[in-house]
Amino acid sequence: MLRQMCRRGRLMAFLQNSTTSDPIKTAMNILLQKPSAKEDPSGAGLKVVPLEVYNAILAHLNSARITSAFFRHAQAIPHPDNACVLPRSAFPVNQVKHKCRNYSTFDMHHGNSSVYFAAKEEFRPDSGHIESMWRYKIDGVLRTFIVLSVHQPLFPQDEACNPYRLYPGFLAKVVYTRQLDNLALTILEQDQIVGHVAYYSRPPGTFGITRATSILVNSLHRNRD
Amino acid sequence: MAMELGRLISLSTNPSQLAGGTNNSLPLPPFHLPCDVRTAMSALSIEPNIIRSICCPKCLSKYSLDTLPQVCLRRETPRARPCGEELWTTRSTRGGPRRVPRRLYSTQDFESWLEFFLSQPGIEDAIDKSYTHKRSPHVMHSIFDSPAWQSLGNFSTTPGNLTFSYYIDWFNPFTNKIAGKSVSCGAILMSCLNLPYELQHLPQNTFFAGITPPPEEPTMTTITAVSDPIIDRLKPMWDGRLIKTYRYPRGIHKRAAVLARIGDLLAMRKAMGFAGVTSHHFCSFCKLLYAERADIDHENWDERTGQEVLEAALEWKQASTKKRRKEIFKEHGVRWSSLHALPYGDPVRHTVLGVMHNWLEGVLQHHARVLWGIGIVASKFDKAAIDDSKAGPTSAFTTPHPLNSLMDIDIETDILEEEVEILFQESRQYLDTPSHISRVRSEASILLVNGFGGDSDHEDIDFRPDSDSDSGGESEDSSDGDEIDADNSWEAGCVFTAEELSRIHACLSETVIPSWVERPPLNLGQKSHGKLKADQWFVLFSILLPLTLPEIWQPSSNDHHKVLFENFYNLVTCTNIVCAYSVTQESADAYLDHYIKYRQSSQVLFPNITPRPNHHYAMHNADLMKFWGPLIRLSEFSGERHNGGLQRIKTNSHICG
Repeated sequence: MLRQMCRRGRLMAFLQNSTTSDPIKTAMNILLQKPSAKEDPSGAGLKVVPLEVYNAILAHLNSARITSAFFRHAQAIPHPDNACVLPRSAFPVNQVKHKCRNYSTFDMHHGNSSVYFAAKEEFRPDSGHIESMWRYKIDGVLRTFIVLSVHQPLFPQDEACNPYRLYPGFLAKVVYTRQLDNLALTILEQDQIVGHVAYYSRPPGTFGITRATSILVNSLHRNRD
Repeated sequence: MAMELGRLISLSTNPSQLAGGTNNSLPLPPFHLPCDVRTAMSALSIEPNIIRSICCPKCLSKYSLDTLPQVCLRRETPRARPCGEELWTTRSTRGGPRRVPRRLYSTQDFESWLEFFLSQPGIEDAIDKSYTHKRSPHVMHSIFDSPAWQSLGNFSTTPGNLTFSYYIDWFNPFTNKIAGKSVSCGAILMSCLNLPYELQHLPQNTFFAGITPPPEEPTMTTITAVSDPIIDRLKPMWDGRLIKTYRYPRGIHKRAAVLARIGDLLAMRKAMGFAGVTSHHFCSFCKLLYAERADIDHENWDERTGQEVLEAALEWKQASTKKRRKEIFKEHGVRWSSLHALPYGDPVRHTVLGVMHNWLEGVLQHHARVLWGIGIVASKFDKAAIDDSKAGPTSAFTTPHPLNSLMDIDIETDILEEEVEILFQESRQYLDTPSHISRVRSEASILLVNGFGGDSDHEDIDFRPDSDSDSGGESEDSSDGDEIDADNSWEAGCVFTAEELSRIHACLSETVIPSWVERPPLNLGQKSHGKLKADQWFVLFSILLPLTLPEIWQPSSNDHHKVLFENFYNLVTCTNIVCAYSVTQESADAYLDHYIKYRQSSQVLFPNITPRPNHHYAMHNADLMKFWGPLIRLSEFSGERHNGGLQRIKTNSHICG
């Protein structure tokens, strides 16, 4: 048993350190059926980004000043020479992996879409649901923009009924339940995600709050860096 | 896949089949495809340097084949009788009966492993980051930020030096099948703490030092025989050796040391030479006695020091009689351990209290099962009580029949009840009722293996007696049983009504959680779901119950519910702090503050339930967090995963190698 386990470790090290052209690594990929994921260079799969989302991504790029360039709206023609124009089309993404965890859109998996994030500008952590994700190639780097509907905090009169405000150790809070017709969208990037948030939807009247609410517990990430 | 491989092998011997076996096929040159795994082993150079030695099946003393006597001649002390165990056996082989040693012990050579480990491209770069790490002044995110990292002087921060953790735990190589073979192996593992956490526990970066000889785990006194060979190879590494690495193929001077010693409570007590969890000196961190374990006045506890422990252990080792050893053990609760031979180690400070067993499977499980009585309600005897309780909440102070909980067990309950009744009568006659009650309950807890949270491997360790039967009569419990936990836990009913439990079940079912989180059983409290894993206890207490209990208990005008809720809140707050991946001085202090409140309110709510040793050990978590940083990064989870990996290895029932 000891010998087998030690061999296993050495084999894993061997496979990890061998190059992709190594026949043994190729054989392992065949055996484990791991297809190599590549972006389609032809651009197949590109979709036109909804205008509201497009505008939000553009505003995020220009306000965050993550890149030195100023991005122009694709429809703001004519564009000057060498202008950075944000394309109207991008790759839609349903799922991304971040810190070994899968994050999905709300339609794909409700639990994987519920996230806690650190807003870069305001330094105000918040939470919400991932509605969609779009991948752009900017400056030669693929970047994923996450469209998030931020949870709606309780109004002061309802907050007064919230029992969790007196018990911060639960790491929980109460928000109004997500409503499709009233989504407050914001744009995030992958590195802003801190972790998943579990939630429990409650009917109107819970804790004396007249609207439907969701209780969020934010202890899953446990301050993991 | 196997068929494809077979076809390939077939092709290698008959290439003409490639074109469908027709005569028009292209002529292919003959080629040879190896079909024996040994060819791959040889070509890949993945064979470890395993050292196999002969050992006594009873005392595990090491022997060489050349001088192997008929029976074991080892004496526990110079004046003790020899062990006398038969060392040879006759095995039927194809060539006829053959005399072979009865037991072998396998260990891996450390230096050869270190050369393999450091020959991996990039591993030295990853290690180097630990030397240049800038300590976070306020928040500890890893051991690099902790005082523990400085506790070996400048060893851990000196480039080239390697600091390891030492993990030991027991597992059943045939998994935990109740009806299967009951065998126990001990895995001794070491992980390089210099690596980033995500790399530390990969199989290729873990040193599998040895697997203790099955079928039984070593005792308190025989464990030194299995750890001595490993420690003997580690000792010279403190001064260093010339080791070939990826960057330095001709070799470079490397030093290695063991810092954190990790395992569950029983394993650590054995490995570190401390007395068991039910002995008088039950704590390895302070000198509080077992009878005083309910004490929460931590400021007045007399802390143990490493120096004191080492001196007592050395005195124990040098004692020439078992009687003297017993006296020393009784006075200090300490025996000799192989790890004491490492000249730099501190047996008190460098022993880690595992969060997984102490908190998740210890305190949390105890709270659910014993204090709240979840699981008791499913009993036949309580059915009526549950129906009645729909009219009003069940009080935790009510005292139903003590046998109610036993009815969950698949045994002939009528017979059991009768036997227990006779025992009660008998005990009353001799005025020793408490000890009889506790015996009955011990049986109950052991028999609950198929019920809520019960298991032979990772069951609440406090239920398990110490097994040191062959250690020369050194009883762990010098109190001769009067100190055995007179736990009245099974007298408590469930604190939840049936309606409240159904609301909890609804919450377990309807709460939206990410796909990687394992949801606890939706029928929580019924025996059919079996044992909960440590991470399920975490999810239950940290995520799911906080989502529903405020709704159940908060609006109530019942003062008892309010106290129950505050008690639960303090427990959850402690859970969130002790399981976090970052620690500050303030969060550690907050943990202690909440934990003391939890213990105080538990005493008020459940006055008949005696605290377990685990509850006392958890008092030390605040100091441990301040010393080690986030305890979850040093928890037993990674070691348990390796145990699982070892269990899954197909050995054709040959488990010695």
